[in-house]
Amino acid sequence: MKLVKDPGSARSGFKDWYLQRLSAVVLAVLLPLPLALLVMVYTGQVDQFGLLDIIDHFVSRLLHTLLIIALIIHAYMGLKVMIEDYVPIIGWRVSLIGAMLVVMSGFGIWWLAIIWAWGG
Amino acid sequence: MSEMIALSVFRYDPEQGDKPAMQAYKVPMSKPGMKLLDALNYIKWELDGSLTYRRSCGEGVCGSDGLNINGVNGLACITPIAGLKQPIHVRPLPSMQVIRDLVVDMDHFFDQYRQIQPWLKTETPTPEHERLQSPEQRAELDGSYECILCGCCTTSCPSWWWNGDRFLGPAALLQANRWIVDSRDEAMGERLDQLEDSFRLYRCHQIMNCMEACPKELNPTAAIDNIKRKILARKS
Amino acid sequence: MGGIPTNRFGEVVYNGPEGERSCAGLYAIGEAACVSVHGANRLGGNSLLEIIVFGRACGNQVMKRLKQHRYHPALDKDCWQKGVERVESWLGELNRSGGSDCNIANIRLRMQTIMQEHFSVYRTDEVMREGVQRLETLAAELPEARLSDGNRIFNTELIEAMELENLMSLARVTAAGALARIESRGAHARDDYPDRDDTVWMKHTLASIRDEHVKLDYKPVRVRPMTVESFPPRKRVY
Ligand code: SF4
Ligand code: SF4
Ligand code: FES
Repeated sequence: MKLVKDPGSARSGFKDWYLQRLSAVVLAVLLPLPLALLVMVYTGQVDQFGLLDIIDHFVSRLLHTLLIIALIIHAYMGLKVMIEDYVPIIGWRVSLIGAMLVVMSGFGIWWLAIIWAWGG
Repeated sequence: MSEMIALSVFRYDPEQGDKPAMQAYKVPMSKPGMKLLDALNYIKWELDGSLTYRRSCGEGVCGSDGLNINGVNGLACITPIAGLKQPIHVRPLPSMQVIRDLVVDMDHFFDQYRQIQPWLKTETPTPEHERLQSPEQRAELDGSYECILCGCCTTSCPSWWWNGDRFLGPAALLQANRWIVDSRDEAMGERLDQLEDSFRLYRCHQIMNCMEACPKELNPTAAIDNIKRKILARKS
Repeated sequence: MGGIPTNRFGEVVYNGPEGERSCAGLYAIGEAACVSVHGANRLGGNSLLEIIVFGRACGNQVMKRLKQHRYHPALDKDCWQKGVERVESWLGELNRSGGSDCNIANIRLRMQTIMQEHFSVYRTDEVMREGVQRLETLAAELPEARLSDGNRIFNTELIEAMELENLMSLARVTAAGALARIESRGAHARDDYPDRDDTVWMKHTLASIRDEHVKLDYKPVRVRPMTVESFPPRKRVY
C-alpha cells in the first residue's frame, strides 16, 4: 500500500556511521599497545615497577583515555544498531538505548577516574 | 522413460485459508539445459493447473519470477535444473506476504522504488536537442541500469527483514545511486537529503546477501557504499 | 509497427462511412501501434522512432486533450457487464466435463503447431488454405475448453485462458490476411507469388471478426512525408 504520510528523511545516521568508523580506526591503532605491553610482561622484558612507570606516564594516560573513549563509542554504536535491528517496539528501543547509555558512560567515567587517580 | 525431476513446491490457497504446505511433483527432464521455469510450466500445463506463479519473458529480462530456490533467491527462468539438488525446494521470496502459492505482494517493494524518485530531475532549461553524455559518463551507469527489479536482493537482506518498513533495501538504493551517478541528473543534493537517514540508508551493514542473490550479478552493496561516500564527501 | 492503426498523434483511427476517424481518447503507441511509417517489416532499432517521435507526440496529444476534458464522460451503467460475463463464463463452467485435450495448454499448443506448420517462413496457397481450415476448426473448439482452477484470487489459469482467446483471434486474422495477400512482402514470403506487387498490394490489411467470421479490409500506406521529398519504394535486393 502506498505510504501517503511519508515522514521523510530524519537527516540522521551519518554521525553514527562516521563515529563508528572513526572509533574503529582509533581502536585499530591503540589496541595493539596494551597487548604489546602484556606480551612484554609475560616475556619478562618489563617488571612490575617498569609497567607502573609506563602506565603512569602522562602520554600513556592520554592514550589510555582516548582508547577508553573510542572503545565506549564503538561499543555503543554497535549495540545501538543491534537494538534498532532487533527491538521493533519504539518504547523498548528508546529505553534500552537510554539504559545502555547510562551504564556505558558510568563505566567509562569510573575507568577514567581510576586512570587519572593513579599516583596522585 | 526419460529422467524425472523431483520438486517440492510451496502451496498456499487463500480461499481455503489452510496452512501452507509443500507439495511434491515429478516432472520429466524434457530437454538439455532445461530451466526451473520449464518444470513449473510443465506442472501448470500438464499436471496441476492451479499452481500459481508469476512469469513473463522466460529469459531473465522482466524480473517477475523471483523465487527462493533451494534456499537461494533467483529467477526460475534462468536457473538450470542441472545444478540443483533434488528434490528442488521452490518457495516464494522470503519475508514477503504470500498472496497465493509462489506469488507475493510486491507493493511495498515498488513503493520503496517510487520513494527514491526514479526519474531524471533537471533545473537547467531543456536544450534544443537531447542532453548528451560522453561514453565515459554513460559507463558510470553500468552495473545499475541492468537491474530488473526482481526483488531477489531486497528479500534476501536481513536488515530489510527486520526493518523493511523503513530501510529502503538494496534494490531501491541501487536505483537511487543510479540517478546520483547519472551525469544528466541535477538533483544529487536533494536525493542525498532524502537518503540521509539512519533507517533508510544506514541500516545496510554490508552483509552482502544482496550481491550473492542478484541474478544479474549486480552489486548493490557497492552502490550503497557509494551513496555513503557521497554523503561523507559533502560533510567533510 | 504493431497492429492498431493510429494517426501521427497516436490516436487510434478507424474506417467510418465518412472516411478515417479517430476514436476520441483512445491511444496506441510503440509495439502496439501502426502509424504507417515502417515498411512491411519493422527493422531492428527503428523502434526508437516509435518511442522518441511518436511516443512524445502522443504524450503531447494526451496532455492537450486532458486540458480540454478534465473528467471522464459518464460511463454507460452496464459497461462492466461484458467483462464480468467473460470471466464468469470461464469460472462458471468449471465442472462441466471435457477431455484432457480440452484444457487451455493443450489448445494453445495445437494452435501454435498449426501456425508453425502452415504459416511459417515460406508459404503457399495450398498450405495456408489448409491451415486456415484447421485453425477455424480449432477455434470452434475453444468454447469447450475448461479451467481446472476455480479460485478467484490470482487465478493465472484464467488469465491464460483469456489470453488464449485473444491469441486465437490474432492467429485467425493473421492467417486470413496472409492467405488473401497474393504477393511476397517483408516477412510474408510466398513460393507461389515470389514478387512484390506495389500496384495492388501496397496497403495495410485491416481485419475484424464479426459474427464469428473473419472480415478483411484495407487501408492505404502513407508514403508522403509532410516536409521532405519522399523517395519511391524500391525492390529490396541483397
Ligand atoms: S549489503 Fe546491505 S543491503 Fe545488501 S544484504 Fe547486506 S545489509 Fe542488505
Ligand atoms: S539488484 Fe539484482 S537482485 Fe536486486 S532487484 Fe535488481 S536485478 Fe534483482
Ligand atoms: S520470466 Fe522474466 S525474468 Fe524470469
